[in-house]
Amino acid sequence: MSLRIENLNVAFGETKVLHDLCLDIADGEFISLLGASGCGKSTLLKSIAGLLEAGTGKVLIDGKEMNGIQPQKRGTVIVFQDLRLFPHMTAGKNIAFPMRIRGVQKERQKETVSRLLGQVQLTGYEDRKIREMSGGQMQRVALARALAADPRLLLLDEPFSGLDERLRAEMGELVRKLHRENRLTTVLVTHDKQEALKFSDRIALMSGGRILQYDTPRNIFRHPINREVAEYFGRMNYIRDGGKEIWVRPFDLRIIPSGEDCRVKDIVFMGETAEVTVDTPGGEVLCMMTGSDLEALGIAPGDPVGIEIGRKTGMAPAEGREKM
Amino acid sequence: MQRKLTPYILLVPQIVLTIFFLIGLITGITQSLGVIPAFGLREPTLFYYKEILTKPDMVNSVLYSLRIALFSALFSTAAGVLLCALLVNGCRTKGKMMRIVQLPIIVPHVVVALFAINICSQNGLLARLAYAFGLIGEQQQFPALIYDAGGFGIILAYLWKEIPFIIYFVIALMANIDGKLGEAAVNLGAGKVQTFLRVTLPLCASTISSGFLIIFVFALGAYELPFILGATTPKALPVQAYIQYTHPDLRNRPYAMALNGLIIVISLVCAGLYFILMTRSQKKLAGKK
Repeated sequence: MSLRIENLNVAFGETKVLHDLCLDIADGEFISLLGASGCGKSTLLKSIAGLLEAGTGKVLIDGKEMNGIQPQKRGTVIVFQDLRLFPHMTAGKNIAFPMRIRGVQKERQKETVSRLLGQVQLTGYEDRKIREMSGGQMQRVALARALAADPRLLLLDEPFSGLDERLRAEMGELVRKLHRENRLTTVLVTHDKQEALKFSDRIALMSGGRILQYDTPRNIFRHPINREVAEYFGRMNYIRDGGKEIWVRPFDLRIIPSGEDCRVKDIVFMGETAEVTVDTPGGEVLCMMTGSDLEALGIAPGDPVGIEIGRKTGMAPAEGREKM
Repeated sequence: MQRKLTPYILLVPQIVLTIFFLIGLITGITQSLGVIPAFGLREPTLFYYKEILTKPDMVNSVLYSLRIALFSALFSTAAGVLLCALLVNGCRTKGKMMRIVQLPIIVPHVVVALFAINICSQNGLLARLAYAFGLIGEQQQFPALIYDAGGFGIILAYLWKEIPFIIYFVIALMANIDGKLGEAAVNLGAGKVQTFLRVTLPLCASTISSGFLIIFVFALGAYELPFILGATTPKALPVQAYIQYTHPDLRNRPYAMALNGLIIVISLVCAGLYFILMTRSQKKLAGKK
């Protein structure tokens, strides 16, 4: 199913949280809403699900205006950050809850619970109490419960924020798999740029209740529309070249040992990667490389070097978008 | 050394109060067993307990008190939970509305009794209004809402006081559950009624039951309302106990203590249930084993 948001404004009392927000999501897309805490990501998600009333603007699902339509009739389901599993029910009953509400036959409920538990790799956990489960297992139950509601649009509100790195990656893969298998349209709220770049078809980077840029992971990383977007996805060198400024990621700068116009200022070795700060006639730049490349270069602070820009075309800001 | 002693020093007021309470309790139980040496009663006996559980006027008092306590607690809890749900649903769990709801809680029971007499008696406000509108021809035709053998007036007064108590006791938890788990249920397709019945109510059940027990025990042991608004017969347990305690024949005092003993036993059972319910509720909500 498709989702279209037109000039959405949401305010809490006097505080405006979303400002004239527009967003288009095609059927079957996996979208990430990325941004710092408090930028309005969760508010946008709740507005889509109907848990918050929009001030002005439109939310259209499959072209149908959703303003005034109750949450349970929108076909959207949120997996909340704090999961909100019902503590008085077992894992199986939690998953069966949306089906019980819809009056699905008990036999079918049982089959679906069993199938969904299999999908989230928790086969045999039907009778397990929520309080007896680990954080990762609870995440899986929350996902299975959301899928049991048969959503047309799955909304994930930072559901992996409480997990360690390994589990986060595992859960991310699982969500991506479920998205494909169940042919869902999915919106993931996250503040983890790696997560967004890895799993999304498109990323909407938000700040201050507005979408700064909405594009594919490759484009948003390679062609940021302004410094804020560029720096959200990693460090950036701003190199003056005549009258214009070139933006270059530290990994796109290559150090040439034979050069003479620049000098190594500092080296930070971090195992797999290394950071080298170089003084150039145009100012200080940061280069990043693998640890083995650094060893192969054999450079030390104070050594004269040259700098080569590997990739810059896509890094220059579009004309007129931002003055630096 | 001083640090080690600090917790014990801080506990001293509680310990002193507990000692006084226990002395009173033990004295009362001893007297209820017919041991008051000053009055020449020296042999322990269960005679007074047998008497209060078999003598018709005493049995009537016990049943009357239990009925008042049960109905007061039951109706207060039901109405309180219903109003609580409406307030939570209307997002009116804070501010002016809650202050209005809490107002009856701070009004003393004696004042509530006076309200009840002024409003509900056969020459009260309601009776006068009924007469003014031609609904009754004389005051005797107005139903006896107070001083009645069914304890209707007493229950009515308890409802006025205890419905707000239940709201006050339950609303914070209910609002919290409704705000988070209720939102999750709505998000999964449940309507407001389904959310209340399947999620909010089961999770509040232990707290609601605890509120019910508090009102039940209070109504069972409270003296003012049955004394002021109660019928001549039957008399509520605390009123009967007071009459026996102030009886000119001091040897009637074990009856008073046996009646108090009965209230204590019922209260202790309720306190035990309360403890179990609160522990269960905390575990359920905290998600602990």
